[in-house]
Amino acid sequence: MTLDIQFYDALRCLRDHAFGCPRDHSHLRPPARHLMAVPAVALLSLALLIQSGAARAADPVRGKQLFEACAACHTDAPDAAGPRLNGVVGRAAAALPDFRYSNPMKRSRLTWTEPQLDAYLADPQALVPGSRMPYAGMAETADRRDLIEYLKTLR
Amino acid sequence: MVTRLKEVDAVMVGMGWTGSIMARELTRAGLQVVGLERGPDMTPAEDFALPGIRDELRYTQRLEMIQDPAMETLTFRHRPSDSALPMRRFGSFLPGNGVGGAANHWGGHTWRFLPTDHVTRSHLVERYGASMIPEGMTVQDWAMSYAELEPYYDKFERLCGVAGQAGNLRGKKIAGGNVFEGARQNDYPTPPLTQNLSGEMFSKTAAELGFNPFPRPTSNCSRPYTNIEGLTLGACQQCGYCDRAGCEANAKAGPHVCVLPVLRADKRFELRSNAWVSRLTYDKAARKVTGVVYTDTRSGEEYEQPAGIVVLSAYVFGNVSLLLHSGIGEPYDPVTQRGSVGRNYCYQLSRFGVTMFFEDKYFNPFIGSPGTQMVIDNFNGDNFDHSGLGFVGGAIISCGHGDGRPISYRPTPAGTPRWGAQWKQATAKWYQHALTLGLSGSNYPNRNNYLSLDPNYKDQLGRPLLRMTYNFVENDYKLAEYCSNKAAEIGRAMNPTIMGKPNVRRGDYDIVPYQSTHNTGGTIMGTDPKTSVVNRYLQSWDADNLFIMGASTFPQQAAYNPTGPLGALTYWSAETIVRDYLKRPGPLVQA
Repeated sequence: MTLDIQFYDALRCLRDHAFGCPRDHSHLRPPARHLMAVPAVALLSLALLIQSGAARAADPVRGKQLFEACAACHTDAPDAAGPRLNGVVGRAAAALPDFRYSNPMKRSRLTWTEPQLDAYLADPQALVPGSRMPYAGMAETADRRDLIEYLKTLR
Repeated sequence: MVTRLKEVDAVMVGMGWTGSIMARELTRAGLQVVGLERGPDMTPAEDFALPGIRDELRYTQRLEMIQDPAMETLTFRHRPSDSALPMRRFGSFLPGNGVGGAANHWGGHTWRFLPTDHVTRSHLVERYGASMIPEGMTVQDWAMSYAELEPYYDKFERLCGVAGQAGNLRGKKIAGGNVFEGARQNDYPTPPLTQNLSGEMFSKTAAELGFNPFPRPTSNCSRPYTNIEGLTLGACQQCGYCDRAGCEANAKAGPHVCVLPVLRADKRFELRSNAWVSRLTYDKAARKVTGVVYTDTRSGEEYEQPAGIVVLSAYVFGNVSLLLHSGIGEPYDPVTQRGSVGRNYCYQLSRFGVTMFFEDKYFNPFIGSPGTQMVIDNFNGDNFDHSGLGFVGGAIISCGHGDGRPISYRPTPAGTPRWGAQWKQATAKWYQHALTLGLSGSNYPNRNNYLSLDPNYKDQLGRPLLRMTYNFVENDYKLAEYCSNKAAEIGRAMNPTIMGKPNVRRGDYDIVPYQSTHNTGGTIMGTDPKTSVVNRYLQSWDADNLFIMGASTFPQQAAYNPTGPLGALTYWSAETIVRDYLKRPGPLVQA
């Protein structure tokens, strides 16, 4: 059983920002920037509140629509630009023997659990710097959740 | 010794855009088709992938995807009285190479020629009188109207997923699109690309001055798109490395993304790369091409491939030189003006814009694509009154960014030293703050601009090289001056910190600096066999089973990039071959 994506999202946010993160946050819009000033405990409560109030269940039909952005490269063709994603959820990264993965992806030693997939889809270069997927990232948590739900249906 | 192969229904000479589309249409009709390509095969997954594809030195500077002049090149001279010399390095134009051809590395601009571009001569005569056409300008009408070609323009756009905004949808003018365009049945398949600050600024000022800006239509899909062949293209990443290289995201339309996957899976199609066609075998009395002879460039072995239909899809230079090497049709003679093979060679007036600097604006020139531009058509074609101006034709004016590459993109204001510490400081200072109003102008034909065979120089197969005789004429200088002054007016109204001078060329055409790869003419279409090489279905007047594709069929070049029309023409010709020619082989048009 895996915890809801939003909770992991909130925890990551806490990890990165709530304990006196030294980075420049001037690029963040309020209220994110204002959150930096809030004590960690308060933030944790907020995160749990958001998680328990999580609106709807993940939607694989919507996820399939979102997958259109991926379909140009992730096809069944033997010379496709991206690897086949059948069975990717739960699989080790760089696992297919007939796809030429980048070296960073091969060295990543990741397993595509839902949280890891979520992190990768949000910002591919942040999780696996130097990997070859030409995709900037999917900003919305709900979008990633729906997309991962769709990926789970690909066997 | 030439090995004779088993006959096939059709052979394509060249597997770029037109060869790939024609092969697909003919195999769909049940024909057995062989596609011959001089260069190597490639796949996007291997050859266009990150991170290697974003290599400016390899692709933009050292031209890895461009034809190698050591294999085959042209000789060049300005006028018939000169002696031509070989081009040992390509500069002004960069011919494609390999399966996919120039579409592998193009910038994606995809237009429909204006309705008046299709009837250039008649329209000019009707509006201004015959004396408006200067002495020696051999403009002709196309052999079909815009309205006839419209459904095929539409089909090619839907093959590519062109991103744009309609300006004339079934007769209804739409602000924000090109209000000068011919009426279109459908909107563009994908919406316009997101524009840069530079395009937005230009668009705002142009609109304030009363012009009609619109986003440049481009075959860089703005969002994932599944085309009419069921193949899915990705969304343009605005990566800044588009032209001269392949696309990392399968977003730039081309044969590899739009057509070839379907062809490769079709048993009726066979692709042979590294197959250099040296000549067509021609039975003049029977009015038939019986096949082609090609050399396997890896082994040097020669093969004869008999075919029921031969399609020349070998780019302007390949098409013209193969006709001349095979003795098909009469070579054009500029003195007598007899013959048509090589006649009406035209180019494009390019790179005569104006660069400006805005010290308080940050343009992020590295984000974008060649198609990320706003354009005005108000000074194109005959969209404005030419009375008293002394020239015909016009230019589009555009502005945007998408090529801020570290080696090539170093704009500096006039007066900056061209090397040394001060130059380096200036390129760093102004990198973010420059924009250019670019122009692309029409180029109408002249009796002395033509293609022929060179008497002195030969290629690696021992055949005479193609010789280009070409120069600008008075009409071109006047057009460039007028249109760049118009661009400068817009530029000044944008209030730059430093206003540049329009880069108007005077003097002879220079083959060294890159201008554009829009070479047209040489096997032009027409209604009269004495002044054209193919009829309105692109069928040769001299051989009924020979069809010639590409911009070599254009009687003259308009201001727009030629790819849209040549894609449309391929579908137009293919439909007639399948519907009419296969049932009744013979001349489709009585001369």
